Amino acid sequence: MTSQPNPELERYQQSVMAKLDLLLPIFAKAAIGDFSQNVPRPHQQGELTELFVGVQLMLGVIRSKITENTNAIRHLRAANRALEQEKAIDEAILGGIGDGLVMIDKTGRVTFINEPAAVLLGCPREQALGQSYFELAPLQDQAGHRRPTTEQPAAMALTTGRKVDCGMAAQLYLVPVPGGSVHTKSPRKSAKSSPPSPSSVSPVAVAIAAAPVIFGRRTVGAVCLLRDISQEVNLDRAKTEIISIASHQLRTPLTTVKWYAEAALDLAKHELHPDLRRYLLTIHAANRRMIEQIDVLLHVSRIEMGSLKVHPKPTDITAVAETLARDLAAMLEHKAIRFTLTSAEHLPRLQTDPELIRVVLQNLISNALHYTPEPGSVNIRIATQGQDLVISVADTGCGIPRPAQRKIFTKLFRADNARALVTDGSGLGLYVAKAIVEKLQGRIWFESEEDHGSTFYVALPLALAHDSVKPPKPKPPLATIRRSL
Amino acid sequence: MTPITRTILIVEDESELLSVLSDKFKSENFEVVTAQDGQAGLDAALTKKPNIILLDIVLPKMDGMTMLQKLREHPEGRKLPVIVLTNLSDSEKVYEAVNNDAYDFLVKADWTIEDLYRKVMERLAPAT
Repeated sequence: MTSQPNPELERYQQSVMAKLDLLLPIFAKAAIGDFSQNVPRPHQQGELTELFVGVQLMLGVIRSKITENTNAIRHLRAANRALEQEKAIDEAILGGIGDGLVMIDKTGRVTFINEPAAVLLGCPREQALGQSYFELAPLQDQAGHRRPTTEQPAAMALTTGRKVDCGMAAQLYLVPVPGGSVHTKSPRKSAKSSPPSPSSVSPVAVAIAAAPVIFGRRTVGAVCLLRDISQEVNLDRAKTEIISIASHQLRTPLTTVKWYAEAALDLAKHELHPDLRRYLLTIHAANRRMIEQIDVLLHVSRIEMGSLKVHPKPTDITAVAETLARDLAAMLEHKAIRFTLTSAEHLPRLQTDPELIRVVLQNLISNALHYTPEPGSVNIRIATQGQDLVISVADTGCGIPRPAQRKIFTKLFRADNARALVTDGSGLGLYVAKAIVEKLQGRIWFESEEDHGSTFYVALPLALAHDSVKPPKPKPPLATIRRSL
Repeated sequence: MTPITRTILIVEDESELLSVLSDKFKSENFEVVTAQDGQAGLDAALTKKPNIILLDIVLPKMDGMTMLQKLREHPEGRKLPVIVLTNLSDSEKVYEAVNNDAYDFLVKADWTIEDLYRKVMERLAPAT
């Protein structure tokens, strides 16, 4: 049975095809990315009207999305260009600075290195990228001992999330990597202090500052600044040598004057003409002042160089104070200043540096004696107080004016009334005393009122006690030294 | 009762300082032996067997630190009390070298002869 042609159906098919044909050019263009054509609106409602309207709506949505995306891309490109420009500027800055700069990721791989750093590490920039920073830049100390990776500034910045600053005092040396060539401003430097290395170049003294790069709450890397400080180290060494020479060369003749004046005074205790005795005492006092000044200068330079070292040993603080007081009392002869030292019994010895304690006490006592007009008194007391051993030096001197009080421990500062009273002070004594006391884990403070005297206190923690209580030892009337009114 | 004479060896290259120290200890009934360089000091320490030594650091021929080390190598010199006297206070090496030893390390300029004498007496008769 064959089917009969149905003219009506055929007409319908042709009409639908004709309508759909209208969409063909639109789809053809859409296929190559052109969504600009519109669907013609059918003249009359029909079964395809919804389809046409739907396609037209779809085209509209696509067109607006395309416009949105195009704008976004344009913005992104502009932003990208700005970023690239910024990057170029950053790289020019980072490359232009004299210091070496290395950025590492959290595993220690180099992600950026500038030219000065590449020169310092003796490794071309492109070769350094991606390599382990710690292998590229091993460090050692002055004695040639390799510093463990975990104790390198960059590693510490990564693990602690804090900035680590190692200046000249840290005495770090960059070790040349075999095969690399480390360039330095002064190739001969540190040759003395470094052990023979496989390469012909010697280690370079460097200052290193490492800062963590923190993203969110995580440390994702670190930035290391490296600076060749060989010249500074050389200068510093020269300075130290000069200070050492000066201290030795000046102290020797000063000691001669000191001991001969003392011997002369001692030899002819009661037979000296009063004037001659006064002259000798004046020589003795002036000499002592010079020795003190040299001590202070030496300590300032040590503090500034960060080379102030503590050499602890069991120390009887009272004995240190007594020795000093005896020596200083000599300058009080014929002066109406009552000078006493009172020490509590059974004080423990402290595990501290007697030499540094002496310097602190010398500064405090010497100040008290110098700034106390006659008649007056200077009293030293040593006793325990809570968790501390406290030494106080109280005088009835000129006091510290209120406005000067907060600056009194500042280097080179001298209060106006002190300047007027003693012209040759250096303004370094209390600065040195404070720096030393803090180095000894102690505290220093004062109470003072202008024209009513000052009391300086030094507290040293009893935790430093070397032994328990000292066996009671009878002392001459509380180790008191007096000069009568 | 006359006090037992004690012998002190002073090793110091500065003649003026040596002389004033000698005078002081002689006046205190010490037998004083002197040396002006490290080698002479070492020889004197071993032959004269002093009760105590005052030792300078900066010395010709052999410096004080070397002398001290060599002295400690001798059985007789091992226990000899030594007070190191110097005007160098910066030297780390000195501290390190003498730190292991029972010693006193004094900066000359900071001490009076009288206190130095007391220190010597203290070392000779340690508190019981």
